[in-house]
Amino acid sequence: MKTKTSITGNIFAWIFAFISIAPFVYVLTLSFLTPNGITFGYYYDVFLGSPQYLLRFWKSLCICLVIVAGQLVVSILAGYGFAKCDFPGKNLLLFILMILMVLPLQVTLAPNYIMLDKLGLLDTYSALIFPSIFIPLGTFILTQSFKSVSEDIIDAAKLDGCGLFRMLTRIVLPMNTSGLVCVTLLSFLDGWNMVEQPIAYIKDFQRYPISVALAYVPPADPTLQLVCCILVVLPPLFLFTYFNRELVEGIVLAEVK
Amino acid sequence: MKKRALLIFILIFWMVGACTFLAMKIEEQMIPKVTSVEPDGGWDSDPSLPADCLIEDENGTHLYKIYEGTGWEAGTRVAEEQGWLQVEDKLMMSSAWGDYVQYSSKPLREGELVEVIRNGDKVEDHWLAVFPEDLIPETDWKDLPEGVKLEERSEKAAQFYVEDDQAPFMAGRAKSRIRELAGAKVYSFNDMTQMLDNFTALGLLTGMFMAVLILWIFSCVYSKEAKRNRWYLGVNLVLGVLLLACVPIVLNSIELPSSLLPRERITDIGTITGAIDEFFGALKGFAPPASDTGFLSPSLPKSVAGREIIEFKNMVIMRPVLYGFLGALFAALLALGEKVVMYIRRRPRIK
Repeated sequence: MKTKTSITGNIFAWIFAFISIAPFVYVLTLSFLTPNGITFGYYYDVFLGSPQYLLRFWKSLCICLVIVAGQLVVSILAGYGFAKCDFPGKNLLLFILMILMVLPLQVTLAPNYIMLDKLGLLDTYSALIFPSIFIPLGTFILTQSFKSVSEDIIDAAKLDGCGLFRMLTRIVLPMNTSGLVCVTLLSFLDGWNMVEQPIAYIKDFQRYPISVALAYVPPADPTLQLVCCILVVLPPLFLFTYFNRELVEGIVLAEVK
Repeated sequence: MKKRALLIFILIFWMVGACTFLAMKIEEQMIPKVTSVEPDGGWDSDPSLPADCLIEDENGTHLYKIYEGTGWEAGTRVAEEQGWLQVEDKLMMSSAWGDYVQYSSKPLREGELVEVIRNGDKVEDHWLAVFPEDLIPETDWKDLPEGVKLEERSEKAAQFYVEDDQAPFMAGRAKSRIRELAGAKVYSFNDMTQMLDNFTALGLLTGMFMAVLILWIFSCVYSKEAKRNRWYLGVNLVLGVLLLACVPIVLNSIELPSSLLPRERITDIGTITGAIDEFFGALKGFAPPASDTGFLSPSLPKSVAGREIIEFKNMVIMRPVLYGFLGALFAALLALGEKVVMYIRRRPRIK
C-alpha cells in the first residue's frame, strides 16, 4: 500500500513539476526558434548586439539589492522589537501593520505618489527604493519568526553580557535563517517584478527597470521578448536554487508550527 | 546543490557582466558612420538630392533619411525613404526635409543607429579596388582626379595612392571620386592596418576568457572540499573579478574600422575574414611571378605600402590564437601552483 501511495504521489509530483516548468521550457525553446529554423541571433541581439537590455538588467538588479538590504535592516529591527521588546501600544502597532499588509498595492500608490512628490523624489530611483523598503510583510514575517526564539536563550545571552547588536547577529539571526531567506526572496521578487510603481512614479523611459521596459521591447519581435525573459529569469532562478534548502526548511517548519 | 548553484551562476553572471562591456563596445563599433546632406530646392521647385545618396546592396537601391528615435529606439537612426526618381545625377522628390544619408561606412539597415560625421579629417591613404570578373573597367587610369595616383594594377585589381582622403573611409565616397570604381569592392589600407592592429587586443580578450574558464573548472574541483580549499577558491574569485575589471580596459584599446565590419552582427566573422582574404589575395596579384623573384624570395608587391601591410599581417595574424593559448596556460599554471601549495601545506610532517 505504501509503495502504491508513493508511486501515485510521484506521478502527481512529476505532473505538477512538468506543469510548473512547462512555461519556462516553452520560452527557452521558442527563444531559439524562428520560422527559418534554429537561431542564436536573438541571443546575440540581447547579449551582444546592444547594451541597453543588459544595462537595464544590472540597474534593476542594483535597485533590488538596495531594496533587499534596506528591507532586511528595517524588518530585522522592527521584527525583533515586536517579538522581544515590550512597549506601550505594541499590539495596536502590530495590528496597524497587519492592516497595511493586506492593503492592495493600488491603494497605496496614490498616497505614496503624493508623498514622493512632496519629497521631490519622483522620477528618481529613490521613488522605487524607499516605498519598497518599508513594505510591512518583512516585518510581519520576522516578528513571527523571532517569536520562536526561546526567552531562556535571550535571558542567558543577556546574563552573559550580550548587547542588543551582538544578540541579534550572533543568536537571533542565525536561529532564523529560513525567515531571513523568506524575507530576502520575497522582497527581491517584489522589487524585481514591480510594474505599477515605476509606471506611476517614473516618467523617463530610460529609468524604467527591466520588468517594465520588457513590455516595450519592439512587439514585432516576440522572440526578442522571450530572450529578454530568459535574461530576467536568471536572478530569481539563482536565488531559488541557492536558497532551496532554507525554503524547504521554512515550509516544513511552518507546517510543524 | 548550494555550491553547484553558486558556481554555475557565478560563471553565468561573469559572462553577463563581460557581455555588458562587450555589448557596449560592439554597439559603439557597429554604428555606421554616415555623412548627411540636405535636399536642394526651394518653394518654387521640387526638392532634390545628389544621386550619391542612393546606397546599393544585395536587396536593391535605397535612400535613407536620418531621424531621432525614442524609447528603446532612442538615438540617431535611419529610415528608408520611398518616392524618389533618379534624373541624371539628381534624385527628384515630391517632398523632402531634414537630413539624408549621402555616404556610409558600411551598408545600412532600416531603423539602424548611425553616427553622423560632419567634418572628417583629411588623411593620406591607399585604396585597393577589387573588380568582379564581369565588371573589369577598360581604362588606362589616366584621368584620375587630383590627389589620386595609380600605384599598381593587375587583371582584377588596382591600387591607388590618395593624398587627401576624408576620414573615416567610405567606399561610396571613393567610388564617387573615381567613377570607374563603380561595382568594385574598395578597401582602404588605413582601415585594414587598423583592423590588424586590433588583433593583439582581441587575442588578450580571448586569453582572458580562456583563463576565466580554466579557473572556473579548477574552482569546481576545489569546491568538493570547499571549507578546506576556501583560500584557493577566494583567490580564483578575486582573479575572476580582476579579469572582469580588465575587460573594459582591454576593450577600450579596440577600435575597429567600420568599413570592414559586417552589416548586421559582429559575430559574422566570415565577412571579416572574407574581406581580409580578398584584400591580401588582390595584393598578391600585384607581385611579380616567382620566376622573376627567385625561388626562396617571398612574392611581394612592388609598392612600399603593399609590402608593409603584408609584413604587418604576417606578424599579427596568429596573435588571437597565441594569446588565447597563453591565457589558458597562465590559468592552468596558476591552478597548478595552487595545487603545489596545497600539497606542500598538507603533506604529513614528522615532528
